[in-house]
Amino acid sequence: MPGLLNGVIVRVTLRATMSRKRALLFALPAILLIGISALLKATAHGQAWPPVFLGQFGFSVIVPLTALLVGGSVLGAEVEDGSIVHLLATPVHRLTVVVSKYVVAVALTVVFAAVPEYLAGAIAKGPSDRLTIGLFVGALAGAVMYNALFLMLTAVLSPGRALAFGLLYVLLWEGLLANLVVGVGLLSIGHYALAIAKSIAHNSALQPHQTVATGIGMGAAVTVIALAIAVNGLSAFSIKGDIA
Amino acid sequence: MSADMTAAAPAPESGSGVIHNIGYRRYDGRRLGRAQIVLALTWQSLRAAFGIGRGAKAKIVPAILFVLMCLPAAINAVALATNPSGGALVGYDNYVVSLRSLVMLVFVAVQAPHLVSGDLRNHTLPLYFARPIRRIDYPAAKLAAFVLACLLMIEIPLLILYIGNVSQVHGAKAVWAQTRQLGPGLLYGLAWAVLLASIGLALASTTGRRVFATCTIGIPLFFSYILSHALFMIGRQAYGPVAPGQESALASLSGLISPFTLLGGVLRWLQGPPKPGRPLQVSQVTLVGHYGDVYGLVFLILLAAAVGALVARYRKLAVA
Repeated sequence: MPGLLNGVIVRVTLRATMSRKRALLFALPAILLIGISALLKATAHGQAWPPVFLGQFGFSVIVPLTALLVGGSVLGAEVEDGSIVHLLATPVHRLTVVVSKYVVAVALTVVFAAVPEYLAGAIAKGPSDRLTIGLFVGALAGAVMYNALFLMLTAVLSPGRALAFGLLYVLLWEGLLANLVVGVGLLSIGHYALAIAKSIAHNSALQPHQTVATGIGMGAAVTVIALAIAVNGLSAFSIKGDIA
Repeated sequence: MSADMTAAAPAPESGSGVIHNIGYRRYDGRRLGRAQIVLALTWQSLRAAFGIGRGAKAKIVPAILFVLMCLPAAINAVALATNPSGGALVGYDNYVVSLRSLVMLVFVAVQAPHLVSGDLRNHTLPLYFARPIRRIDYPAAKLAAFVLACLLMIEIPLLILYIGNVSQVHGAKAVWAQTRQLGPGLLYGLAWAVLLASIGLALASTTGRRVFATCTIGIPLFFSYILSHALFMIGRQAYGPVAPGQESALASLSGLISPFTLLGGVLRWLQGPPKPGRPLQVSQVTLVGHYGDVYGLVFLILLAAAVGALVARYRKLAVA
């Protein structure tokens, strides 16, 4: 078994993802989240809004969208411009490729989604409040799960389709169905993350559709299965069409 | 415009600065002019918006979205047919707005890049501009095609709804009443199509890579949609009504953030203040309070900005 983390791949991926103007795009939602939290903190009456805003908006938009952008581009950008060929031609185990890129994706998502979520929570409720900690841990869990899923999509589907399906998934499944149909909540990463957040925050305004045990168990299963499929998909990766 | 162009058209290779021979094969027939080129481009773009002329896979997303969009109208027709005494389930102007928003979001995000990304990516624009069209014709044709595509997505379900309703009412008067409701519904649908198509194309034309184009459109639209909803909820909960029946400024203005809620606000503005005794379905509409005019103004500004950005993009684009 080769080493799971390849420093060169990590470095190259990090540079490719962060060196463009896109990095500013990642930061924009985070800035908005923190800015609006500060604004609401200054003006709103009552304490009802932090779980609504940070739980609902943060978990159904900020975390999945950041993960989609990051997780979709750590591998997808290379697949799209064809330079993945050079990487796959090197004698590096595909598992190492996937894990290295996955680690970068999770780290970036934590920086651009989970940390802002924590900062926004700290502004709203104070830095050591249960809700703040709970939201942070939930967002961490969300970053771990979502990135595995989106990395899998880019390894299995063509880049455009992976992104479109990822966006559709976030929109329709996580954004709409999971909040309306209780059964869908059992298969929703957003609700796993919410369950984990709630187990720490003990806030009744966070309404996950399953218990924390289910959330952790299912979330871990989803992550592992998705990564396995990604490795498998990358092993069977074939170069076709006009990629050059 | 078109008459002028067709008249000017049959003057090829006469020093008009038009390159016809781009090295493929000889053609000595009649040359069609600017109007025909724009028309052909529009038609081809309209087909591209639904994946027609491409593989089966390209048709999956538009087909699913179209069926989804028609579903409420079909259900309404069936419900009316089995239980004629019950009223219509779905209105013309506010046709299941959450579904319409989501379907149109996905449609614009996934399909708008199909119209413009390929030409940007493959550098085929010089081939267009070597023909007797002006810089503005290309974005105009694309915009017209995509507005038409969005119109088809929005208006056909309305027509199905109309047919379903009309088939269950009796008497010319009832039919006329339905028709009078349909008219504003169709016009309002046009507002949707124009705004969303211009925003979609303006964002799609920023990049030649379809992946990023889809993200560039989908993510801000989705983001602002949820943000607007969250702020609306907070505006109602945390601030409370300013006066009976008068929501707080945050709840009234939060709709401006997203094009979809903006359109909802425009509808509320056009309908005028709610009549007493007929409560609003709060979950379905944007509340505008006293700010209705602001919604109308922002709609126009946003539309102008999107169209302007699209035109400017192709005016400044270096064709080389």
